[in-house]
Amino acid sequence: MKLSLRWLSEHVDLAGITAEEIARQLTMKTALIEGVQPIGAGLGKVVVGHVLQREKHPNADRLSACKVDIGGQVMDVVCGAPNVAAGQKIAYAPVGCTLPNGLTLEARKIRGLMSHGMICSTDELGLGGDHDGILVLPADAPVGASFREFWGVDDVVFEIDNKSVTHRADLWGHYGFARELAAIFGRPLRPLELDATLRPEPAAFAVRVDDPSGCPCYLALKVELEAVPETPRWMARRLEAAGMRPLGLLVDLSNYVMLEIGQPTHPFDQDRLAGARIVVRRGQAGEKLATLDGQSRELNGEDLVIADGERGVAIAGVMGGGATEVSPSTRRMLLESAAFEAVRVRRTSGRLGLRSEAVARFEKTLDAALPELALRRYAFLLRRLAPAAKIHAGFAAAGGAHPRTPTLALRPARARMKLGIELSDAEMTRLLTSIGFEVRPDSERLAVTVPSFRSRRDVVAEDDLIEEIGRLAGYERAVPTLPRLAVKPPLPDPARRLERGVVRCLVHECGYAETLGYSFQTDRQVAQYEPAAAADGHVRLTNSLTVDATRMRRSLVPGLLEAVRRNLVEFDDVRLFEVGREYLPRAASGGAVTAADGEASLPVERRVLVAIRAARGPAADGLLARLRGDVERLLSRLAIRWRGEAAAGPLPAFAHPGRSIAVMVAGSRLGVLAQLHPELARRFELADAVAVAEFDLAAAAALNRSLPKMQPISPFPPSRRDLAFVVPESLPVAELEREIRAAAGETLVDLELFDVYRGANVPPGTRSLAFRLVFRAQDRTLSDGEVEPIQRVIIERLAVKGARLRA
Amino acid sequence: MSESLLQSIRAIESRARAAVAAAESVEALQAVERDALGKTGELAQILRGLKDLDDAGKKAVGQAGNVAKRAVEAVLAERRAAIESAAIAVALTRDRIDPTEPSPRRHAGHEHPVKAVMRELEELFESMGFTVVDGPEIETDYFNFEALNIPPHHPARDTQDTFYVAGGHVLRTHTSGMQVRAMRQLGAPLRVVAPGRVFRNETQDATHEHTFHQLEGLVVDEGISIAHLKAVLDELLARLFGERVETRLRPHHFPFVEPGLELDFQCRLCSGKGCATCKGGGWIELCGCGMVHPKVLQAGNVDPERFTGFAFGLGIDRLTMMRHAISDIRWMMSGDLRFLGQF
Repeated sequence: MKLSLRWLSEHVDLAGITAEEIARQLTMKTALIEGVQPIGAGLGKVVVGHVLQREKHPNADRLSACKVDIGGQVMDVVCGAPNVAAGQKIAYAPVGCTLPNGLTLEARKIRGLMSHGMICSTDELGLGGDHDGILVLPADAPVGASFREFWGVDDVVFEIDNKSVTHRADLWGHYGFARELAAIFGRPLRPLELDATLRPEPAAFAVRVDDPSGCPCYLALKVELEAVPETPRWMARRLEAAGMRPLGLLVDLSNYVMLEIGQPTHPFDQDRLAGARIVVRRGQAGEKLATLDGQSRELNGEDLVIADGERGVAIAGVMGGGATEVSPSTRRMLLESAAFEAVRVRRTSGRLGLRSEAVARFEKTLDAALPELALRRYAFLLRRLAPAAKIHAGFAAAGGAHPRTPTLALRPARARMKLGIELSDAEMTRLLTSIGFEVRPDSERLAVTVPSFRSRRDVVAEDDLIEEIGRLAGYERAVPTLPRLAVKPPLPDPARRLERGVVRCLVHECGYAETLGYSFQTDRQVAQYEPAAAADGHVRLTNSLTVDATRMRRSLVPGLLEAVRRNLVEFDDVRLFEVGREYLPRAASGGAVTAADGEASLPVERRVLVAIRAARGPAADGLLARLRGDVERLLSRLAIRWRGEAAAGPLPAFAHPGRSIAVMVAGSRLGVLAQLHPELARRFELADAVAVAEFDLAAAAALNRSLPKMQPISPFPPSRRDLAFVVPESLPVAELEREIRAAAGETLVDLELFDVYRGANVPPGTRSLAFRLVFRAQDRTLSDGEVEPIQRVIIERLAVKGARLRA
Repeated sequence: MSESLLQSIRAIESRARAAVAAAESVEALQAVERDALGKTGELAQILRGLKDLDDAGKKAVGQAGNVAKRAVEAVLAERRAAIESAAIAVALTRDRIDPTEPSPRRHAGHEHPVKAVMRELEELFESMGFTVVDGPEIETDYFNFEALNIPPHHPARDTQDTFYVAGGHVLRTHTSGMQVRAMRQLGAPLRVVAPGRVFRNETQDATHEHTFHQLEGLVVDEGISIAHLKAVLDELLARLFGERVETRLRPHHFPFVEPGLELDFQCRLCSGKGCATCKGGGWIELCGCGMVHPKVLQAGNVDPERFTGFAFGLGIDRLTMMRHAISDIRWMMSGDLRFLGQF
């Protein structure tokens, strides 16, 4: 929303206060000012010109060669605008003038013709609007006169952050802000000039409200005029400053009143209303209405419609209809000023996708006093601008709510406590009074009467009053004080602690980059990753951002695979991990949702860790083994004791069935690491080796972690033996290790598989496994004579299993 | 007899001394040692003749032999040290490395910058006694909106374009829903932060993401005021930037706080004079905050007459962007190592 300084100054004297100070004070006390834009600055040299002659540029089809009289001097100007024509009065910027857009004009040749200065568009003049042509001034514009003075552009526009006033219906017009400024700067707020002669007269016009809950009040004012005068330039400029285009006096006045006090009104051409009546009713299924913007809108029974004797003529509170629009030829106008129910207006607007200035205001629940106020303000201004207009003193009225001015109890002590500001009762009283509240002492409390323009939704409880006091007093008066809190250690969070361990190990020890992927899954990802996933296998969005990302991810892997593919373009060794959530639909429990908060029906969110490695070229060999190494390191850092096993039960989609390792902890599967399934590699177009590990992080956090216990250190030297065996591929290492340990007894203190070899000298279907055994006793030096027999037993037992000692 | 042996010993010693003095290498010294003092060396051969001498002769020649041996050993050691030192001196003048030649690059890991900031903030708040809590990303309408004083059809819902999932739940639009969850779970008094992923149904551009991260803070106790809110957020900024930062609180509207506030901090690039980073205003918006609305306390089963509280919601991504001069928020979720590898 935009505010004009000139307009504000009509309601409160702001002389001597800079625009920057106004913006600063409003920002600190009322609403965020996002911009301060001077209008007309830099236009001092622009004058009214008269286009004496316009010819096509000899060398360019789209350019015109013009002769412009600027008051005693005729300038040659080349102009690119399509709408320039001889006889026009225009705004001429001379050479040397710097326009608001920063352009400094020079005399220069354009396609061979000299051009001195420029015929300006509103855009170039910094007056906003579109750039499709030059600004054409009225015929009576005096040639050579200062454009700025003639056109009345000398203003400052404040841009308000709309989000900071969603709760303040009173601030959706200049008068509300003028009230704030009057309070902030201690200057009087001038009363709004109104037509006091108007009075309700039921017979003035036939108005029937069939839906009083949707339309608690409907007022209609009849006006007759011989001709519609032009909108005065000062008013047009103010409308433009506020971001609206002048469209003719009757509409302009309606907009002006709305921008001033926040109440939308709507002028109908009374002669186009069939049956000389207004009916406010619900829409009918299938009913169509062509709105002012030329679109046909389909209505339903939820919508509120303004109809005449025959058909709908406006969508209540949203937009008027084209058929009954006022025009310069309108001779009898009916001005609607009504109250519409906020939620209904909002819903209709949302359903039709039709936002308007009226919607922005009606949806905020307006002051019940506003409809009549708007009527009186419109009548006052019309009388002044069109003295010949005949305004009927009696206006039609249906319904009508009394403005509410509730009285709230305020405990000054609570205000002081909550704000952390030392404020006397007197100061609180003064601050509240300055913005229209009435305050009187009531024993320990203050009885505060809320003015009707603040009472609907905005100020309804004691704490709302405290906010008013706080912001007007200035929050800078609260002196920062750290809270005194009981010494209570924060509750531990095992999952978060585990996550930090994961990051430490994978990032700092194993060289992984942590990444974050979207929670959404595209159709393409689903088709590539789990084409057979059940239709109800995903949590689905009902309003996705793009049509192809309608599902929540049930695995982090597809997103990571895509990231890997992109990264492999530039990197040979890609290591990524993500700690994130999978979303799974809650299995239909059969029971209805019982808790009022719907908690029990929330989808399941699983915190998982996925680590993925990919490598191009030579590094691709043994990738799964290297990933396993990372996992071993990780789990050991996390003090989780585990075993790798062949996976029993269904494997995740990413896993190569023969090259998968189930990470087993205390009998249950904590995760899986595997080479990427070749079919997935094909679908994701991953030609290079990829290995993936996936862990249930919540389950990992819940584990009892076995912290290492110190073992006694023997003062006696160890005895080392390296033994290599030729072992069938079908015989697992774990089994061999079990045998070795069983055979060796307690003097075997370390057993390491240090080499795996397949190839020459090893028969197909077998591999060579080389173990290093370390023997050591706590109480003596082990002699060869002691170790040799143990070694023989080991070799014998392994031979029984089918492992042959390599010569 | 013994006299000639003594003479031979002296001769051996003087020859050895001369050889030691002439030796230019450790190897040459070793040869001298071997020839003169070794098991089969000259001295050993002389001493083998001891058995033919009388006791006095044995004693005299034996002593002389030992004296000569020690003397030769001493000059050997001295000469050896000299040769080695000379070699070191030569090596020292010769051995030069290029101090600008880097070590072969090792594969480095990288923490995601957003998560790094988030974890740092968690640690900071933990150090101030806050408990870190966690909640669902797919949230009920109740916790995301209603419990926060945002009833259905409230205009405030427009300011947060919401993703809905089938069944009527929402992707949480903010971490503020955790306020009520935390109060219900932990009761008052409490101090918690709730970091996490949030979603807005918004078109992406350089400064807008539909998926981003927030950290919600909540303190509820008797007598909590705006002065406390200010102090905690000042502390946060001081820790974040390593020094005190000018801040200001100004009114803003959030339905779940009353008063509703926005905290700005003074632009550090221009010290508040106004520059491109702060869009000329001199201040940068840090977070929405305020005093918890009594209705929200009630929703959390906390008595609003006895307790008051403050809450704030920090945008982690924006903070991260400021910290690392990241110009486009879309990098955050890109999974691109060219980006991730920089942190």
